[in-house]
Amino acid sequence: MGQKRGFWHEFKKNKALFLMLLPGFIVLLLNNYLPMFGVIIAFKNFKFVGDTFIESLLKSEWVGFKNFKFLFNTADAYAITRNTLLYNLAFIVIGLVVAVGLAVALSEMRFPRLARIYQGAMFLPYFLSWVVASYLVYAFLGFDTGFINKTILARLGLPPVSWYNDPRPWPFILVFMHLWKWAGYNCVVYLAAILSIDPEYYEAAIIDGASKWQQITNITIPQLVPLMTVLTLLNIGRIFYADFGLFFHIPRNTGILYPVTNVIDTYVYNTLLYMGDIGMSSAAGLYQAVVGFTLVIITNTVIRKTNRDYALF
Amino acid sequence: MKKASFGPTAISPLANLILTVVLGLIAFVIIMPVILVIVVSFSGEQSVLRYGFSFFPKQWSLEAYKFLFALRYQLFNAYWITIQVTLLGTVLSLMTMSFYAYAISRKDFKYRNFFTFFVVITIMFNGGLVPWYLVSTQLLHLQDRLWGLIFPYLMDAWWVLILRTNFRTSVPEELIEAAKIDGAGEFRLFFSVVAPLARAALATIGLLCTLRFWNDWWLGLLLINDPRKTPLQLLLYRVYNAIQFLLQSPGNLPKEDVLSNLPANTVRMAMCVVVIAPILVVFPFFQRYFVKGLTIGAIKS
Amino acid sequence: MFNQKRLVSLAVLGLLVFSLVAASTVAAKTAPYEIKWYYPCNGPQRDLELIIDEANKYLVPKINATLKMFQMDFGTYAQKLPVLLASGEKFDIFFIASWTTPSYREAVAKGYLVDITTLWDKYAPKSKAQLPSGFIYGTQINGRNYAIPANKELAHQWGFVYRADIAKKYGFDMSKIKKFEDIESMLKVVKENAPDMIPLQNTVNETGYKMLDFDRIVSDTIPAVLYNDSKDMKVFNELETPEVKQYFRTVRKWYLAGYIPADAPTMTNFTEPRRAGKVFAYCGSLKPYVGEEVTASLGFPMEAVAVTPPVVQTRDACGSMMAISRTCKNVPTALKFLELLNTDPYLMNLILYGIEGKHYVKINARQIKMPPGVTRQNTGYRVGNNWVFGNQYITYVWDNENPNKWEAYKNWNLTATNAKSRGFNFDFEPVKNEIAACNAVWNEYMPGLTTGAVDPDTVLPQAIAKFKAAGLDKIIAEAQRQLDAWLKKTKKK
Repeated sequence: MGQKRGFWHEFKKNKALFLMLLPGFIVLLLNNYLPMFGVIIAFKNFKFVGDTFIESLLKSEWVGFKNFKFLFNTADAYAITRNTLLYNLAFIVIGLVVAVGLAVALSEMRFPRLARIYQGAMFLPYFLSWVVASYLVYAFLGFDTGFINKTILARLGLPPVSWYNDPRPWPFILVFMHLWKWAGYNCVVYLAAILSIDPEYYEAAIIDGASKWQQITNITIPQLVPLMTVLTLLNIGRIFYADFGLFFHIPRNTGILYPVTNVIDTYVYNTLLYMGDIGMSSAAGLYQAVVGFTLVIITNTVIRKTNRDYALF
Repeated sequence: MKKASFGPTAISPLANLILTVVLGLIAFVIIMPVILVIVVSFSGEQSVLRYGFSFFPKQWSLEAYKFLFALRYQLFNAYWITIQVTLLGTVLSLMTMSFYAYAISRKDFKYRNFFTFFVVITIMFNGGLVPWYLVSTQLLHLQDRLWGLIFPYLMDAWWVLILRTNFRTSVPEELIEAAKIDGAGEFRLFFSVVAPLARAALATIGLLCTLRFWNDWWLGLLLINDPRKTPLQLLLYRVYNAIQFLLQSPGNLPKEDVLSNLPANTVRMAMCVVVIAPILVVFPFFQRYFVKGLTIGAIKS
Repeated sequence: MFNQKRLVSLAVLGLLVFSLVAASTVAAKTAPYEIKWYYPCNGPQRDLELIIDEANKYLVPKINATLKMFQMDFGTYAQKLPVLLASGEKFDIFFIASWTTPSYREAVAKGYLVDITTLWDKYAPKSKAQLPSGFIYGTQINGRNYAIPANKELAHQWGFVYRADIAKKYGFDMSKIKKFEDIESMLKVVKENAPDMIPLQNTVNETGYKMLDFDRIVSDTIPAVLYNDSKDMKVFNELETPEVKQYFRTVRKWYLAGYIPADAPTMTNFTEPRRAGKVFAYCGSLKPYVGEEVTASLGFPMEAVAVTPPVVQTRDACGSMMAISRTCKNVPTALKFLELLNTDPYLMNLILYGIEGKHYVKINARQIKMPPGVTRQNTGYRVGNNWVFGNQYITYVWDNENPNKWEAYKNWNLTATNAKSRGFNFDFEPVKNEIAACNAVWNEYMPGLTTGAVDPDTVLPQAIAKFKAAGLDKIIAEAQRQLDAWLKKTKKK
C-alpha cells in the first residue's frame, strides 16, 4: 500500500514527466510488448476461426511443441541457423579488419582533403537502401545486360554466368555487399576514435625512435582495442539476427539460391507471407527470439566485465 | 583530420603515394555501381540490349526519362507519400524519443529505472515477426495506412538510450536545479535548457530518423497493398519485379499502350536514379554533420 | 375527457405510424455496401473507373451495392493473394483456383473462405442451377462448397500458343508438333532471325513441364502423382521418372542456347512481354478456339497447337472460381452480386468488355467488335481472360472468334477422357506439415529446374533428396492409403 501511495504522490509531483513518457510508453506497449504475448501463437495451430483476431487466437487449438518439432525435423532449420551464424561471423571478423584498416590508412594519409573525399565516397552506401543496392548489383550481375557478363567476361572470351541461378558465388557476393554498405560507416567510427588519441603518445614514440609501423601496432591499435571489443561484443549479441534487406533484396529472393542465402529472418518472412504457414514461421521466429535473448544476456555480462559504461544493464 | 599538424609523425612520401592510390581505388570501387546506374539511365535501350550495361554507352538518350515522365503518376504519388512519412515521422519520432529520454535522464525522477528497463527489455527480447505482423494488421489495423509507415518506428530503444546519456552528460544538473527553482515547468525546461545544450545529439538522431523513414521499404513490404499508398522504396522494389507496377493506377494510365515499346532496362535504372537523386544531392552537406554527430556519439555514449 | 383521451391515443398512433414510416425510409436509404473484388487479368485498365460507375448505376437499385475492383496481372496477383489473406485485409470477393497460392484446398483448410453451401441456395440459386453437377461436386470439400466455379470448359489440354504471323513469316509447319521437343527447330530460327524476341517464354509456373500432364492428386506443388490412365493406381514421385529427367535436359539445352529468357525462374509477370508482342511461343492451357481468344486479349495473331489429349481430372473443376473472404462483412450481398454476374449477360459483359459503343460494338447477338478508331492497342479496357470471371456461356465473343465457341466447349467436354482418379479428393490434414515443407522445397528447386536455369544432373538429385527429407514418402503413402480407400468405396457402388 505504501508503495501505491508513493506512486500517486510521485505521479502528482511529476505529472509533466509522466506526460512526456506517455507517447513513447504507448508505442512500446503496442508495438513491442503486445507482440511478446503473441508468442503463444507458436504453440497453437492458428486458424482464422473467430470474427476477431483475439477470438481466433483463443479458439485455435493448443498443439504444444508440435510446430517446433516439425521445424527442427526439416532440413531448413539447420540450413538457416548455419547461414545466419556463419554469415554474421564473417561479417564481424572481415568487417572489423577492413574498417580498422581503412581508418588507420585514412588517418595516415598526407592529404587530409583527399582523405575526406575518400571517406565521403566510402560513406555513401550507408545512405542507400538495400533496394537501391539490389539495382546496383543487378547492373553488374544481370545475365543479358549485366556489366560483368557483357563487358568483362565477354572481353576475356569467357561464357556468361547465370549469376542469379548459381549458388556458388553468393557467399562472396553477400560478404562483399555487406562490406560495401557498412565498411565506410564503421571506418568513420574508428577514425573518430583514432583522432581522439592523445598526440603526446606519438610524440613520445618518435623520440624513442619508433617507426611508423611500430607506432600503429603499439599505439593506434591498442588504443582502439576497447572500442573494437565493445562493438564486436555487441555484434555477437546480435549474431542470431540477420540483415533481412541484404539477404532478401540482393539475391532477389530466388528459390534456387536459398541453400546459401536463406537466413532465419528471410525464412520467417517467406514462410509467413508466401506459404501462409503461421505455425512454422512463428516457431522459427520464437526460436530466434529465445536464442537471441540468451546471447544478448551473455554478451552483456561480458561487456559489463570489460567496460561497464557500455553495458545495457 | 588534424593529422597534418603532426608533422614529424607523417608517413613517407612513397607510403603516402601507395596509400593514396590504393584507398582511391577502394573508394572508386565503392561508388562505381552508382555511376554505372546513372550512366545506364541515360543510355539508349537498343545499345543496352546489344552491348549490355556499360560505362561508355554507344548511344546516349533521354528516352528512359521521357517514358518515366509519361508514367509519372505512380512515381510522383510515391514521392509524395514518402515525403509526408519522412517529415511527419521525423518530427514525431524525435519528439517521442527525446521526451522519453529526457524523463529517464532525470536523476531526481523516482521511476526512471523502471522506465529505462521498460525500453531496454525491447532490445533484449521481441515477439518475432509473426506476432508483430498479426498484432499490427489484426488489432492495430495499420495496413494500407500512412500511419502504419510511421508508428512502428516512433521508438528506437538504442536511440533513446543514446539521447538519455547525452542529456545527462551535456546538461549540468545544477542548471536543471536552478531552472526548477525559477519555477520552470518540465516542458519549458526541456525546450529552453536541455534541447539547446544537446542539440548536436538531437540533430544526429533527427538525421538518422529522416534517413530511416526515407529509405524504408520494410514496413511497406509488410503493410502496404494499395498501389496508391506505395512509398518510394517499395515502388522501386515492385518495379524491379514487374515494371508494370508503374501502371497500377487505373484512371491515370497514359493514353497509348506504352508497354509495347517500353525501354524496360533503362527505365528501371532511371527509376533508381530518381529515387536516390535527393540523397545524392544532400549527401555532401549531410555527410559532414553526420560524421560530426557520429564522432560525438562514439566518444560519449 | 373522452375526446382528450382519443386525441392522445390518436397522437400516439400518429407518432407510431410516423416513426414506422421514418424507420422504413431510413432502412431503404442504407448506404450501399461496397463490394471489394480482387481478381487477376491483363492488368489494371485505364477506363476501370468508367466501368465501375456504369456497374454501380446498375447494382445500386438491384442489390444496393457498389463495386470496387482491384485488377492486377497474374504475377502480381500470385504475390498479393497470400498477403491479403494472411493480413486479414477487409475484402469480399476474390479469385481462387486449384493452382493459385494458396490453393483452394489450402485456403479452405486455413479458414480463409466462407462456407456457402446453404447460403448459395438462398441468395444465388440461379448461379448454382446453371452449373453442370460436375462443377458443383467437383469443387466440394468434405461435402461443403466454398466458392462458385466458373462455368466453362471442364477438360484441360496442354500445348503451345504462338504468334501465327511469325510462324508464317519463317514458313513453320506448326502442325508437325506432336510433342514438347518438336518445337526446337522453330525456336532456333526465331532466335537467329529475331534477336529481340523471346523464342519460348518458358517462365516459372507456365512451363512445358505441364505437358507431362501428371494427375496431381495431392497438390500442384507436391510431386506425388498418378498417370491419367494409370493401370495399377500407384502413387509415385514424378521426379524419379525418365520423362521428367528428359524434359529437364531438353529445357536446360534450350536455356543455354538462349531460347528461354534468362530470368525465366524469377519472372512471374508473363503477361507483360506477351502484350508487348515479344513472345514467339509459350506453353499454355488449350481449349476450343483458344487462338482467337488470345488474339483478342493480346492484340497479336495467335494460334495454338496441342501436345496432350484433353483430359478431365478432379482438380479441373477447381480451375477458376470466385470465393468470399472470411473478412466479408455482408455475405448475402456478395452472393447476390455473384448471382447477377453469373446469370445477367449485361453485367457480365460490362465487366468483361466495357461499355457498349465505347469499348465495343455489337455485330449480332453473339459477336462484338472494336468501335471505329479503337484498336486493341489503344483501347482503355481490355481485361482478357474471360474464364476468370464466371459463367462464360452468357458472354459475347469477338468478331475474330467463332460465334459457336460455347457450343464447342460443351462438345469438347464430352470428348475428353476422364482421369482414372476423377472424383477423388485428397484430404491433407493428416500430412499438413509435410505438405508445407514439400511446398517450400518445390518453390526452391522447381522454378530453376522447370525453366532450364539450372543443371538437372547436379540439382535434380539434390531436389529429390530434399523432398525425401521433407517427408514426401509419408505424403505418397498417405495419398496411396486415401486413394485405395476411395477405390474400394467407389467399386462397391
